[in-house]
Amino acid sequence: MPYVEEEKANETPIPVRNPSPNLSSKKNRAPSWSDIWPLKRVVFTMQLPESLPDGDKTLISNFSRIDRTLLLSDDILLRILSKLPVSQRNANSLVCKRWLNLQGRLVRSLRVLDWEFLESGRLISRFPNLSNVDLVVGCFVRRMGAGVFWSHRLVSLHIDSCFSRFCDDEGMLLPVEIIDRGLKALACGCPNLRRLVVIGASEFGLLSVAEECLTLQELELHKCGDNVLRGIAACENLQILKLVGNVEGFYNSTVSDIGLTILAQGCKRLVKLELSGCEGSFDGIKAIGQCCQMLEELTFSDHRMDDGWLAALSYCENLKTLRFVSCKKIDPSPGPDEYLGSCLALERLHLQKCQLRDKKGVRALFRVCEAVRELVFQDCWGLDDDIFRFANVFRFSLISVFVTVVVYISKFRSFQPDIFASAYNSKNHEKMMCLLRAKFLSLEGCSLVTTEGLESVILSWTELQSLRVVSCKNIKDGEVSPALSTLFSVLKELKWRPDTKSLLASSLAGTGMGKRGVNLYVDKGRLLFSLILSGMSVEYQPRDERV
Amino acid sequence: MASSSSSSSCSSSSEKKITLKSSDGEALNVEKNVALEFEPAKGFLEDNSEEADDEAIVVPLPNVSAAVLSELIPYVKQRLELSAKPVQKKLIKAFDDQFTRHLSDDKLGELMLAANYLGVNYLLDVLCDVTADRIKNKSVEYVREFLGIQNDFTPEEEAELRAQCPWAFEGVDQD
Repeated sequence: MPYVEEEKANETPIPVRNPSPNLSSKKNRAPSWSDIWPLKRVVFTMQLPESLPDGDKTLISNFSRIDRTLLLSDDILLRILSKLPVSQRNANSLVCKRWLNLQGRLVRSLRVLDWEFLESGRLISRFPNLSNVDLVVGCFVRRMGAGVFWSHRLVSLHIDSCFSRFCDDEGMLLPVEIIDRGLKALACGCPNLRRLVVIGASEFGLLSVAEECLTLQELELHKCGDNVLRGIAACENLQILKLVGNVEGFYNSTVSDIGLTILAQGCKRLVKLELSGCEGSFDGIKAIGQCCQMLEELTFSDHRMDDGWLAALSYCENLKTLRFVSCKKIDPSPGPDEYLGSCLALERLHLQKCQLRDKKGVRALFRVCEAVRELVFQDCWGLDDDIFRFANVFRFSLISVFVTVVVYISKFRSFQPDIFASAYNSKNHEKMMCLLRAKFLSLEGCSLVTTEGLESVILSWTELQSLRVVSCKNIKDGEVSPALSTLFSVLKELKWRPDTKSLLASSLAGTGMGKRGVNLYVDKGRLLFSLILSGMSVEYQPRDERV
Repeated sequence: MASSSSSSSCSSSSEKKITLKSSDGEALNVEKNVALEFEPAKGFLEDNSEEADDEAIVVPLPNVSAAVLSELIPYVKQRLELSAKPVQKKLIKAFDDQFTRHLSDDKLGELMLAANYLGVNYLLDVLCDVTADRIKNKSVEYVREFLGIQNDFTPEEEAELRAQCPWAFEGVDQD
């Protein structure tokens, strides 16, 4: 954009000597240094300091409008702008055209809410340095005045009262061609794109992204099918990929072995992969394991894999973290143990909101993950004595391999105290053998565990160093025995807040609730409190503050 | 470039001194090492290095007033002394803070332009921080007033921009 500074320099023969009295007569406010400086600068750049005529003062009123930032370079202004809080960005853009431009150059991450903004090119002209773009919300057809917010963990959108169900034919999403065109425009405008989140694109749109944005590292693709993966396979430098195939109630598209194989052959540098609602089987996972040698983190979310897929995990030789989120099953028929193999580099196994009732699958999973050093169960169902017995199956390798065992047990609804109690029984002693070397135990929201149950177990865990007990209502301060308190004094780290109040407090942290004087939220707070007591997991997020 | 008031202060010190001539014609005597911190002066001295007598050199600084120069020179001098010693960064920062704390808004701007023109980058950094601090969380109108910026948007453009933020895009945290 042309700066005013240059225009002024061209158009003005300038009086220099003592301009201030003149200025003060023409202006409301007193003359300030800013009125004088540009003059001198202009004079200086014209190299005519002495020869200018003193008499001509007709243009001087122009200079009352010259601002003091004109003499500062873009770099200096950017330095100042970058020090201002993010919340002030939109306001700063309104200061003047130069600031709009400069502020736009500072913005790297953006969530596009309106497709027209992208398609008209205004997005790219205003924010030329984008590296992180989330297009999902913009890809939905905007419903004016739609007051209902329909939300899933993965997708959220506004709907109106005519809405019956999510369906492509009803035109919820923009047509594929439009999305592809937008992607192409974005890719051409922002060649430095590093992260992209998009829904409903086809392989052609993604191919243009792959061609233009060579540095693209992270891609999140919703409503992804096998064909679309052909486009992704062209992104050779991709490191983090999240594929969302099927989202219950929203959309249904299929990612199968075909897609996974294409992906594996194209994106050989993948480090993190998340498959959400994807189908597939042994072959697809095997292909990924064999081709993507750098894969370190693999997440399955609500997977629909065919039976027997688990054995393919052992092909992921460098896998360090394996995560299951919201899975209804692990693998109902994992096949014979001798074909399972194991991931030798695996360090962490996280199970979150999973149903572990599928005994054979869990047993096989534990076998595949025999090398893990950190085991996290969070909000899982169906963990019972049997599951621990399965863990016992590979007890020997566990004991030899486990250096640090970390066990987080959080909000276990069906977590029975007798799992703990039985561990100390000589009869069932082996059951908890795998945990005997645990060094870290965290119990959070396990309302069924009693003080006695806890005591009977941890007294036998000779290597325990750290204990966290939060919001377990049946563990009571008054019931702590001398033996237990002796143990506490030996521990390196102890967090002891078994009362349920602390859960409320921690859940509300940052929401502004729970503070004194926030009467408005008392009812919501009470509701939340009762929900938490009834064992529901509640997440409360305050609305984003917008400018 | 006749200077009227330079002769009196020239002879007071035996150290190598340079005369700087400000925009309003005043001459100020400074030590050579201080003058070398100012890029235009440095360039001028290099160009005129064949002249034997440094005292005879008068460096014109047509973009800086005497008032600003007389603020800048003691700052640069002390800052030079500080950074010559192996002192902690904290001390330097405290010194900078003390220097900037009592600056008026106008003075701040003047100094910033001078630091920019003279290429005193460490001062410019500090002044940028202070400026950012003073317009932090302020309204558009305040920022314009503070820096004397003219609103060059048409009312329609401004209305469109204002409307765009809530519905067209929103920021994502990770920046």
